[in-house]
Amino acid sequence: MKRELKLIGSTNSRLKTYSEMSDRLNQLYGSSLFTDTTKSGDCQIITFSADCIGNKFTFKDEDILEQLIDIAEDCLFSPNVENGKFDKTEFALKKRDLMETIEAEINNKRGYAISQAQKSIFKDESCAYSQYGTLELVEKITSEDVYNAYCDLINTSVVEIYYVTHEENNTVCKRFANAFSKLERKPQTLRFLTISPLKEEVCRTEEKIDVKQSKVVLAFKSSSDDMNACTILSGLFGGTPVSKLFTNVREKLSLCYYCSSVYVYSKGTILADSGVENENVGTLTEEVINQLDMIKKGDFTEEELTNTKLALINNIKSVSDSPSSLIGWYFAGYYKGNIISPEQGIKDIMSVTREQLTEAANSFSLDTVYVMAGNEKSVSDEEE
Amino acid sequence: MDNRQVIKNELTGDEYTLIKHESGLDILVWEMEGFSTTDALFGTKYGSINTRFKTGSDKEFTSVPEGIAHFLEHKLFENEDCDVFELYAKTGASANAYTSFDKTCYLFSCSENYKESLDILVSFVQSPYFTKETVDKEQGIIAQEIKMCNDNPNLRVFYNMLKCLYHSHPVKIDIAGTVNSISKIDADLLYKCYNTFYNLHNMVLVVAGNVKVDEVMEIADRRLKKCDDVKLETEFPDEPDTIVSKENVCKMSVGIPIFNIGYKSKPCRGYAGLKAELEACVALNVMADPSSVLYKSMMEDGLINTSFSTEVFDGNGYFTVIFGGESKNPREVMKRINDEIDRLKIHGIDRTMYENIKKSTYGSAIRELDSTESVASAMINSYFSDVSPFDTMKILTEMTYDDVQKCICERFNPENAAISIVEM
Repeated sequence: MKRELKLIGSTNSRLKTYSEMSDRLNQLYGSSLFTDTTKSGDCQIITFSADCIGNKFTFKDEDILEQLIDIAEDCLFSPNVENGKFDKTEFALKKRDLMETIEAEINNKRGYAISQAQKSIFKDESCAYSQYGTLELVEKITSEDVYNAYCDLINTSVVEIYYVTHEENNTVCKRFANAFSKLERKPQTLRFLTISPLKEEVCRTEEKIDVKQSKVVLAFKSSSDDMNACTILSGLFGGTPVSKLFTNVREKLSLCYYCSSVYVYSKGTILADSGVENENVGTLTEEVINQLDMIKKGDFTEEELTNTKLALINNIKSVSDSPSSLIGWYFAGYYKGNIISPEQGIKDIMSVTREQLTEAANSFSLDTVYVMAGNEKSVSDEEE
Repeated sequence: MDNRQVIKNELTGDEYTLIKHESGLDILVWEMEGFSTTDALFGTKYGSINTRFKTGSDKEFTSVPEGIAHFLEHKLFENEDCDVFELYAKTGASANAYTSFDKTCYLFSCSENYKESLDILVSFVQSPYFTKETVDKEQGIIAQEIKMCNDNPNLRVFYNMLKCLYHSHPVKIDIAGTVNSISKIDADLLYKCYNTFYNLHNMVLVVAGNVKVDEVMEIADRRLKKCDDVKLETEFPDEPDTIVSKENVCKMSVGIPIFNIGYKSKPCRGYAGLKAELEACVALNVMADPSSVLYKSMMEDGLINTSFSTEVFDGNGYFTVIFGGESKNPREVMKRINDEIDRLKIHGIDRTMYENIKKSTYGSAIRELDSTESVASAMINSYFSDVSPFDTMKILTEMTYDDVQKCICERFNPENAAISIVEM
């Protein structure tokens, strides 16, 4: 579902409504303007992006790139604001839209389970909260608040600018950099890496919801700084269809359809999740923990290690094939404080040894088990 | 000898090669300069709607349990001695498969060793291995996949809408079937379906990206087993033009009600089908794109939010235009859409709006050429629809205002519309 209507990306002082903006973008061959809010550790990342087809593909050799950049620049530096407030109607629309986005979070059960689990996993840390905030908070927001937040964002946020094109052209980046340099900016100092502390006792949370399939989320934490080894570890554990979790928990035990893991670098945490029959929640949880224990004991073949590396490298080698993956690669390098080329990234992955991997595995401990408990198995289930 | 033909798109200069391989398989290869990635799909024209079929040697049509095409897709990933994922693991490729209403596709994407991965793909799809044990084991996994889908309100609202619109066409059944229907599947039935539909004459191989035609041919010549055309026939029950019911309401745990509103109309195939699909797509956007009067007024009145979207859903024997999203008052949304349809039928669509939407739709078609994955997928979709991947752009450039106006008059009939709602 599309969720792209945000104040900055949908209007500006010339195109005052979302409908005028959409009409203009249609004229530019369906060019897109996109704003997105995500979390990276305890930092909030706001992405503002625009893209269009090459001028040479237009019907009459039109310069749509230049027109799109004009619109984008206005969106950022000349928003639809009067007397220190965003336009009343547009503000009300977006406020309601944000509230409904929050209300609808429960519709995606897997995403909702992970989001609920994070409240326990990262308790008392900024990233425990959803990037959308809460209904109560959004309800209180006024148009002035949003304008102040916009000023704050434009003046104090750390800004990275990327432009991907098939030809040598540095004018676009320069133009945005110039526009920012005209402001008296005081960018804040950010810490992208804030290792989440391991709880003294494993936190076990259960929530009952009217669903047919229960969801389980497990968090393992570590303070290891060997990022490459941790990345490979998560791949070997549950990142590929030949991983420990996929081959054992899904294929051998037939417990579930999906069981996978992801490494959250910024918090030193591995999240593993699955969807199972309610009566199998216990078995599944034990088996996931067991699979990590096996890796800790070095119970994996040289071939499994090589295959995991190959899968990661396959992704890195495709980075240059799309503007978004290229930007994603370099932005990740930026916030990890280590901007490297994809080629170097491949070398780094290849150089990780078996010992490093086992050491990384042993640095992880179970922190949280979250269960979204569905209904007990019933006859009506089978009839559907 | 193989029979090669280069197909060109005069508008963009793109081209691909079509090979009529002596084994009976058609192969499409699109060499894309400057890309590191290679995407390949090996597909059969066999999806969840193909529940009744016969071959030239069968006297009667066979009916099979719902969800069997999808079950077969899962099981084909298991060879006699290992899991297919283990083979791909050695090449680094990312592999997957999917079953839709009208096709099953096996695919991989990789940035090196594509020849090895292609060899694996072409070989395993031709080597079925089903036993009672492996079939039983899969029941548990697929049952959990079905339950996951049953908990997904967006899927439920869509299927419930199809059940309102279609009396007997199998498009109304879930692709994965039900926990009950898949329990009736056994190894013999899987072999029966495999031997019927996984015939090279009913299949296609497409490869796009960092690839060479000659290299693909070398693997094809080595691995493809020549096969005779089994003279496959599929059958669909008669589907009336009318709908089953106007409304379906389903209770599930959702934060805000979800709706799908569908307008059923006459299906058509091939080039005419693609033309109808694109006209309906432009019509939907002219009517309900964020720049439209309808969207603006529903947004301002709090009836829809930015999850609102439109879609043309069509295939062999079905054609439906859909409006979907979240709303606290979905029935009022339907009323507004019906009013707007009536207004447009009388007063006609706005000409400037029509021109802008056409430009934007053309822009999306151009963007599709930007990734090996979307190019490969466009090739397989068009092949199975009996059109060329370049026809989209041709139709868009030739489309007229009258075509779209006519589409609204013929395909947006409030009498043939149903609303499906999922609410708490």
